[in-house]
Amino acid sequence: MMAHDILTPPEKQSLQHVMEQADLDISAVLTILLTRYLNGRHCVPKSGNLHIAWEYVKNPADHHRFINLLCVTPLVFDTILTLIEDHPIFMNNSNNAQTPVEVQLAVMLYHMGRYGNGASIEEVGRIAGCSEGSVENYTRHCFTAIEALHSIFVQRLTLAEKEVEKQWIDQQVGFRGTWREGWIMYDGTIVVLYKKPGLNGDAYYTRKGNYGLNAQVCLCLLYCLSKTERLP
Amino acid sequence: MTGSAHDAAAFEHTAAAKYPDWFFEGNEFAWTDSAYAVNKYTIPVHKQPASLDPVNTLFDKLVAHLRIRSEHCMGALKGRFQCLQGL
Repeated sequence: MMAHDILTPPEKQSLQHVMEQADLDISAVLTILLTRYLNGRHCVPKSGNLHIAWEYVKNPADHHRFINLLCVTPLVFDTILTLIEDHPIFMNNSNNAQTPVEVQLAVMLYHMGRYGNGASIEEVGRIAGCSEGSVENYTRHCFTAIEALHSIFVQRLTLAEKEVEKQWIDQQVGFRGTWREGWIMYDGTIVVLYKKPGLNGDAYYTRKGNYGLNAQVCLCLLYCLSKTERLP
Repeated sequence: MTGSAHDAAAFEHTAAAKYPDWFFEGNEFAWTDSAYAVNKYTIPVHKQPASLDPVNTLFDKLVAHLRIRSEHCMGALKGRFQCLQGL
């Protein structure tokens, strides 16, 4: 580009031509930046210890340590794993296979079980022995797979299931009659935002002194969480 | 809804409140806490001074046996997964 400028000085060119040439130069530089590393890169040392979870599984006496690490029991872990491992997000058309799904799920659960700076991707990556970007990818993969199960777990109750609920209410409350028709409960919860939104920020100020969204959750009594309604 | 919305105001925008005929069949209704309005579809517990009436107190106490499950459900989630801490 510099040689080009010396051989054909811009001030002797037409404005139109100079602009076209500048556009071409910028797109060439951008293409190089997007496809090539301009400096040498070194290998980041990694040494995780999340694999200790698989050792904990072997002995029932260590199961409480597994729960402390990943927030779920080994049985629940295996159940979630069976449900999500066939999701296409865990496939790629490459000769390098993705990290095994159980490792991705373990990193995601570890990530979910921490808060504050303990939940930062650097901290989780250090414990899991993977890069920071991988932590984000694993968490996103697992959530995509779990959200794909939405229609299985979140649906309206059938009439038979409703009847079971109503019979249970008959036993539970001390009064009979039409009160048994109340088989569902509503409650609100705040989903806290990281910081005050730029647009209409004051509207997000909650009664608990932070900024967040109000989500209304609808629950059944026996079948627990039946239907959540996400609101914009 | 935005966080400043009261529970009762946010409920107005849920599918259950917008399409009650689709959601509730017959005399069905939902139990709610005292933040919600009382109408055909949502039955809250009594607020003061009505809750001071001994009969109403008994009613509220029995409803609390049901309501506690809803509170426990969300409490358990927030307790288990600490990333939800502060919600």
